[in-house]
Amino acid sequence: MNLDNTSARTNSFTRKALLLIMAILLVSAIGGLSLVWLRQESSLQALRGQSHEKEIARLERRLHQLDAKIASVHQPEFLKELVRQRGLPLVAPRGNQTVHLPAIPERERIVSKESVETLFSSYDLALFSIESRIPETE
Amino acid sequence: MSKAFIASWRLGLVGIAVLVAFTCIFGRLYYLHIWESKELLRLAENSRRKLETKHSRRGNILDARGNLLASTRTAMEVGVDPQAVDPKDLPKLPLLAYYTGISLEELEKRFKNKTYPTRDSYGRQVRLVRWSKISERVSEDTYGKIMALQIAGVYGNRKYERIYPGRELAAHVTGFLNKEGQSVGGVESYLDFYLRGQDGWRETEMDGHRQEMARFRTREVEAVDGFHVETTIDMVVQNIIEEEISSLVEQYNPKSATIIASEPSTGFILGLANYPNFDPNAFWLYPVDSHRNRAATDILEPGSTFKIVAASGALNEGLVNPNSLFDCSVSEAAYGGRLVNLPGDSTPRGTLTVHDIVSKSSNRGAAQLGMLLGADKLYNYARAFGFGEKSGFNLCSETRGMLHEVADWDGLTISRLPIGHAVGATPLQIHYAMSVMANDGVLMTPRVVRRVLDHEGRTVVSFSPRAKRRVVSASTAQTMARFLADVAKTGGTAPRAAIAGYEVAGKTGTSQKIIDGKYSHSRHVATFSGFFPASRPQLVITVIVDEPQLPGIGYGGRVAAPVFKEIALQLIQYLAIQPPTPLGETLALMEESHARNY
Repeated sequence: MNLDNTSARTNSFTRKALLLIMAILLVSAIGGLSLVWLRQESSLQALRGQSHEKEIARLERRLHQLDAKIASVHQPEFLKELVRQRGLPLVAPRGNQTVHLPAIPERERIVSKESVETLFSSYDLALFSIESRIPETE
Repeated sequence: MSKAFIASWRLGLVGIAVLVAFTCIFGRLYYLHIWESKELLRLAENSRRKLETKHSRRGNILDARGNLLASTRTAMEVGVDPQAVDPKDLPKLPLLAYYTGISLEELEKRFKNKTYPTRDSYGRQVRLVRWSKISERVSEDTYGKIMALQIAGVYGNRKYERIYPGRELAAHVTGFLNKEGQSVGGVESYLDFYLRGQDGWRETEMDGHRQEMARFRTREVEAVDGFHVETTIDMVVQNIIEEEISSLVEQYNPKSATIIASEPSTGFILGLANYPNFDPNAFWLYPVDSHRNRAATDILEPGSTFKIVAASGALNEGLVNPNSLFDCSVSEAAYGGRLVNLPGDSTPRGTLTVHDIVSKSSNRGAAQLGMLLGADKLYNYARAFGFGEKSGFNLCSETRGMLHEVADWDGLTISRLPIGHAVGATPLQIHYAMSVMANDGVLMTPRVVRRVLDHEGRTVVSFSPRAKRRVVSASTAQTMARFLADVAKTGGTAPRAAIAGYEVAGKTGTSQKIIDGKYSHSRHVATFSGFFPASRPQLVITVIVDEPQLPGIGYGGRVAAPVFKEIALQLIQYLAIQPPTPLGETLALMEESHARNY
């Protein structure tokens, strides 16, 4: 009876020990694999980040190239050359083509008070100024 | 089954051999892991770890309207490793020569030259060429095409490159970066601290192919790009000025020329150009002399433009009024208990008012005004107008000019200084002295930079207008402006500067150059400095032409005044400067238009 009990206890202990070892091995294996997976993921993320970084740098470079190109074609010299090449009749306005509306305190006052009236007055002034420059033919 | 016999000595020998082998192995392990461990660890660490510098991008220089005057872009330096060249790629060389812009013969030489002579410490006579430069800079697009050729051994290194899209435009204002990346002159040098930014760095690890292992990045500090700088220069105004300088050079072939345009009320310079000029993109192709910003570094005698000092000084002190009379026919005048010889006038003058002395530019009259003012006051006014001191233009090593202390004057200085002799001034000093007249008697600090801004356009540092001092009262300045307005009328010295509808005020100057210690009769500096409209000054323009080549004397009114007018006419349109219409006339026009409509 005692022997049977002892044997049963031994078997139970062995089973428990085996189970424990299995559990430890399982946990270790899962932990190890998880660690590998984590490292792989972090590595992939780092590579993705690096690739995005390169792409951003490439786009920034393109942007700066484009900025420089735009700046070059905005140069007055370049634009004048373009006008010349294309034979466009574009010239800077001359003094007698411009009508200046007088900037006087009275006008500013009217602007704040009766803007519509001032608008008509300004328009009339401009017309008057142009008319006065046209020589009478008769 | 027989038992193998092993002699005991053999067994001992094998034992000793095994022991020796293990001793060697352990000895080596001891050497590697303990004895030399530090050094070996350091070597391993160095080949694995890498400290990478992340270069910051230099900020842009902008004009007043946000146009780029200087920018930074990447460029590729292309080269070849002759050791890695594959003969099968040689047929692709003509295309590579086309992209890089070098001759095919030169390119073939670089591909085939695999060694270079040397004499190093190991006694070697030759060394292998691992890098032969093909092109110093090609654009990213071109580099893409080169790489598409897939020529073994050809590769490039990326680097930042400073570009100036306007080429010569405002070159003396922007300055440039030399091949070592050092800023030279202009805004580049003055605001280098803000423009250059701050490099960053990254600590990372490399694999056996020297490729970065991104997952092992440890510490990283981001690069901070440089701030942008907004100048007061207007690209269009600058272009107009430079075109006029080109016409001037074509017409008169001068030794040098300077034109400055600025706002009198703020001191902001809208355009500043010098001849000779240079292209900062290829500065090495131009003489060093052309890199100099003559507006701030060159000294010349201001000549008659200096007469405003004596005249406004005497007016400001209440010693004279506009109608005070001076006998300009006399050749001597009493000063300090002795007779002083007066400088001659080009045409004989009789009795002139102060008004006429300025508008007709009488040397004798100006000398008498100076003598009336006295040496100390004349000197003090000259200093107050900014002569003999740095103007505060910080873009280059500005000179302070030359204005001797009264104690150092000789017997004639009192009569020569008022006509702009015995004094040396920079074009900027002449320009800002005239600005005093246009700014109600206040001297402003020259400003070329408006602000420093970050990448979101927020202002980091602002350079607001700064008044240096009041030189003369507002009423004196306005009186002087009335005198100067007659200079550009018939009977004045610069009728060629007159603009219909705009009252131009200014002063001509024609100074003889000193050659071998004597005033030359054939070499002159022609100057016109003026502003408009005289009653409400919007712009001050100064034109200085050094040694114009023309028959006769290159008078300021003849050479410089027409250039002033041409620039002013274009700027009136561009900046929409209104003519000063008298108030009564305007109201009459308005009443008339109302009466017509209602």
